[in-house]
Amino acid sequence: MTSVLIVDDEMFIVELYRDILQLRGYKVMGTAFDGEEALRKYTNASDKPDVIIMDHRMPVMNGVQATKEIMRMNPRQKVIFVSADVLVEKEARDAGAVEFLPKPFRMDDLIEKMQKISSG
Amino acid sequence: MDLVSHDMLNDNQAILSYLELILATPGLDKRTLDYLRKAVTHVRSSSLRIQNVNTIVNARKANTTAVGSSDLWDAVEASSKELEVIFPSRKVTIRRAQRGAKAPVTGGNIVKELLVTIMESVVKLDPGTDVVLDLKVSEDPGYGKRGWTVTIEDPRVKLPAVVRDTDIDSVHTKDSSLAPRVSGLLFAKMAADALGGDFDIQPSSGAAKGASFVLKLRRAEGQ
Repeated sequence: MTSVLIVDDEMFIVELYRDILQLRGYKVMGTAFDGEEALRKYTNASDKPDVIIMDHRMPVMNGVQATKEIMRMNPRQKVIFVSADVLVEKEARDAGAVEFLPKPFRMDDLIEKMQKISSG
Repeated sequence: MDLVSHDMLNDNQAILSYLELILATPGLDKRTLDYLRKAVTHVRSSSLRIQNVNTIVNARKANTTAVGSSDLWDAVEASSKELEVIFPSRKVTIRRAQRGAKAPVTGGNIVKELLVTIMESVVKLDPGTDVVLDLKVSEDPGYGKRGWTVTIEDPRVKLPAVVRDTDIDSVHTKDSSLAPRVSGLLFAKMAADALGGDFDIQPSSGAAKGASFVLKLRRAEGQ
């Protein structure tokens, strides 16, 4: 079962992703509300998530910075970047994100990208 | 503005996703499904408007180098795909030119947004259920610092009279009630200007319908 870490500072968005991903058969191994919390949880996790869904605009540490730090620890980590700010796509990809979805996106598109990553 | 639009898009994300969840519920009758699909279309449309405002704010506050560059052909492909999703209940065909050599233009992701918005506006002004758009891309050496021109033609589009007779950026001053119907075209003009390019509407001469929508974009610096 593909495991996921969800990083977003909006509680209702975290709940939304969690509910839908669980309905679709994914294991949500954790959630974080900012980049720093994501880093801490990632570092402490004995089993790393297969995929991280990463928002950008968050307090304390943004998504691009958190992605860079995570990729430094594990260059093979798969990060799907999701943001309402389409202009951040290049930065996100440069930081190491394998996919970028501008909000709002269809959950089917997210699932398709998750499947692509899992099968790749 | 930037923060407000960010929160609005987050809200739209939730609305869209919950509508999708309801749509996936087995046993819904056809009428309910139609209503839900229409709601999805409007959420997407509303999101596009919000993104457009955001895009203009960003394009105006950044210099053209800061917004980055993108390959025009990639933007054409991505925008064509997105358009099909925006109008699930209409058959929209985009006859586009065969992909040419790389065409780096100034504008980064804004270029795709611009193309989606222009084509969305054209489809909304086309009274037909089946819409066919002809999209051509040509290199334009005579334009400014060299660039590319994207021409979108629709022989059936019905432009409001004031749009046929007036420059698009002053339409809302002539007839403010028109602004909501042509807001996408206004956005295109403002965004193209902010990127150092141009956007123009050329109505078919002598005909009550049909027009070409011409977007000029600058070649990305250093390319």
